Amino acid sequence: MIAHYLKLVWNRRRANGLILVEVLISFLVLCGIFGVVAYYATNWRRPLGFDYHDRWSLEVDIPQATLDDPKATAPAFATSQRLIAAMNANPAIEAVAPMPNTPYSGSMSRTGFRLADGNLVQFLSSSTTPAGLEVLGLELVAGRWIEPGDDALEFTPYVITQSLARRLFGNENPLGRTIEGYDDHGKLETLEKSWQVRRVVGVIRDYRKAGEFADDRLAAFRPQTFSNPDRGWAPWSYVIHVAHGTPAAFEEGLLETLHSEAPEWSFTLRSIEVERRNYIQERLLPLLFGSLLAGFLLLMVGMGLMGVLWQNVTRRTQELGLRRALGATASEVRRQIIGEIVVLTAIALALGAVLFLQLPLLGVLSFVSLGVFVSAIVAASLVLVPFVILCGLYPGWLATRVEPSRALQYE
Amino acid sequence: MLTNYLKIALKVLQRRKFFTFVSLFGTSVTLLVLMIGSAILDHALSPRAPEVGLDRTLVISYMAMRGEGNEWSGNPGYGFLDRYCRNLPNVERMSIYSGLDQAPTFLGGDKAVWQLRRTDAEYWNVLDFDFLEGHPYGESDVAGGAHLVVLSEAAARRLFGKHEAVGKAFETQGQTWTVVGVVRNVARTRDCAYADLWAPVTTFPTDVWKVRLMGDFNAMLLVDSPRHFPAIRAEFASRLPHVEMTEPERYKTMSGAPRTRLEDIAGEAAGLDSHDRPRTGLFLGGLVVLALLFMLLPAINLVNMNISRIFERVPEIGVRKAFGASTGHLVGQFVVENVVLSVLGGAIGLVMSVWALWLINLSGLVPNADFGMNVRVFLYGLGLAVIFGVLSGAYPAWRMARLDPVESLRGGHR
Repeated sequence: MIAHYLKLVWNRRRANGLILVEVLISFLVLCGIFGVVAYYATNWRRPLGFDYHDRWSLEVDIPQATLDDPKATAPAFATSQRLIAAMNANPAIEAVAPMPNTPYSGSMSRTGFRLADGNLVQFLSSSTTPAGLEVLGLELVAGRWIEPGDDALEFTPYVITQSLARRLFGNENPLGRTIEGYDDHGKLETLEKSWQVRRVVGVIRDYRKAGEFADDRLAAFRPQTFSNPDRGWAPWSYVIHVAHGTPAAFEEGLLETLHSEAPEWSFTLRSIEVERRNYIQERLLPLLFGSLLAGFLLLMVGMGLMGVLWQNVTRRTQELGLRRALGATASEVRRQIIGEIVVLTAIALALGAVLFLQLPLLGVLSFVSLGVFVSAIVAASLVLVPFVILCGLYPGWLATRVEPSRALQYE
Repeated sequence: MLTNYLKIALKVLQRRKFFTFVSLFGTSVTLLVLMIGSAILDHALSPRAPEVGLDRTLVISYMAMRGEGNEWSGNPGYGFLDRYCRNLPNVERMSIYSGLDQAPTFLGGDKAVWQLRRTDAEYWNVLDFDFLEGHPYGESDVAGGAHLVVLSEAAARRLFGKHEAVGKAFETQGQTWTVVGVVRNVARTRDCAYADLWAPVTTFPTDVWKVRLMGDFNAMLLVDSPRHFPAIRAEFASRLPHVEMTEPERYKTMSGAPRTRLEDIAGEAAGLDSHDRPRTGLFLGGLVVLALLFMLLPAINLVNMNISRIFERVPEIGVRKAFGASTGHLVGQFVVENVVLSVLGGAIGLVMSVWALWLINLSGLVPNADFGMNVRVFLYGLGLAVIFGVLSGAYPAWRMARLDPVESLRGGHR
């Protein structure tokens, strides 16, 4: 049966070629849209690893003539400590901690180096204080969190996420291990100071700072210093946990306090809940526009397809009439018309799937898993095939109306 | 002859209403999307108030410092612009202004976040703002570090209601500001001009900005004619090696070039390094390819339907051929018919895009947006419609013209 439809399709290959191209392009467009949806959906289902409710981020702009002027860093440390003390004294604030890489912010403070096998690992690296665990609502799964005095140890303690632990040490116990970096030639990095040794002291659940839609799970935390200019800079951002139900007016008072503590610095306070809302909107809006465009393309292709099939049926009056005269039932004729278009669609889908799968095979978009591509193909097919059948229904019905006697007049 | 073609075209359109509807729908929505795109691009690139001299303006907004293993790219600092970029040849006026800073206000418990830009006094001469109230701050205000501010209309209304704003004071960023002027709102797409609050550059809390090579500043160079852009770039490049680096142990060289708005957008789209001049040709070519790709599917759809329609007209074509119409005639006729259809679809698309742009302006997706149609965008749209018509009419016309007259007359073509 299918072989017969194939032959029929092949016999009219020139007209069908264009339909094939049309269906193929719509399929690829749908695959693209569904690919993004599938990618977002898989990431959305994973735990976020932190709490955004009642959290605010504070960004600090420290005017410094050069980036790391040691003479300027010591007073900046003192000012930062005054700021933290002032914030902790505020009754609306439950806890505050320095935190580069605040959730949903565009800033990414990353560390990267090569492993012994030559692969590059990049992860978020944030220096924070013992309060950081509670402030972000992180969940410790093994070892310990950063403790007071950690910035003066003879090594640098690291608390890493489960994904980073797996990436660095596989299934081995990461606690107490040293994170070693290698240079481009596979040589172990040389450290100038002994405290630069990175030792894992704790493991937390994945901290996905980049948000629900992103697949960014490699992160590490290390102690923030306020005394040793060699071991860090004054923090340029903080996360604040405010008491639930704090009125928005708290913001004005807090900014005033901060300005009076550090008149030369400037501050930006943002509600992380609001940031999250903007973040979600920023990602869904382009998707919505893309879907609208894809929907329009699909609608147009559908109507065009219907028109072409309709025209085909009127042109094939003789052939269809002959079949009816030779005893084919109405439903058999309808099945033929729809069967032909389904076979054509299947060919287009197969071609499209092969083309689309080149993306993962060629290693483009390597951060997207193969499953996302496959589910995009499945979803696009599930939309396209019923849609095409729907478009064939009316022309198929028309075909059954062909009267054998009229059709055979021509012969 | 052409009137005849037009008459036939209109008759054909009325013959099969479904086909006509599908063609018009596809053409108009395709052109709607493309026209919105070109309206936004045109809006961003064309000189209009306050950036009236945009076509002869160069902007220094992206520089890079490099040393061994270190790189810092981004906006230049005031120190660099002030020391090394003044007195370039053929530059009529030059203004240095900061990037946008967030300035929250809490008037009567109503929190609003404004975009604050700090500028020199020359800023108000390079750009042509429409002052609704008051006036800009002048040289002496800037020199004295006066805490004066020019508000946008929207900010003035939100902060002071319908009352006059000039002379009033408010607090933001821990400082108190006095309003000296109110200007008409500026769209976000006007990159040099957009802000809600404008204040003298000397109102930063500290003075470190004055000496930094990199920072958060831009400079506008208003040149007497675009012909002199290359000369300015050459002079600028020749000055770069003489820049005295402030952190020579980290950064050794400085690179970058003054850019036009188009180069700025192209550079941003490509994410190129500052020392490469963004390839505007590549950018525009890429846009054209994208537009063609987007037109491809509707065009194929139209081709498909046109081919179907031809076979409906086989007897007519047979008669015309039999009476001596050449292939050229027939192709011409069919392409004209198709262009008529596309232009009709384009007209519908145009009306829809005026409406859609109005919606975009209302939606607030782009702050203070004032996108609109103008003659230039209309001509783009018309051009696109004609290209679309020819594209989707040529192949079916060729198929039609190759029909065998004898077969056609019999009407028995399969």
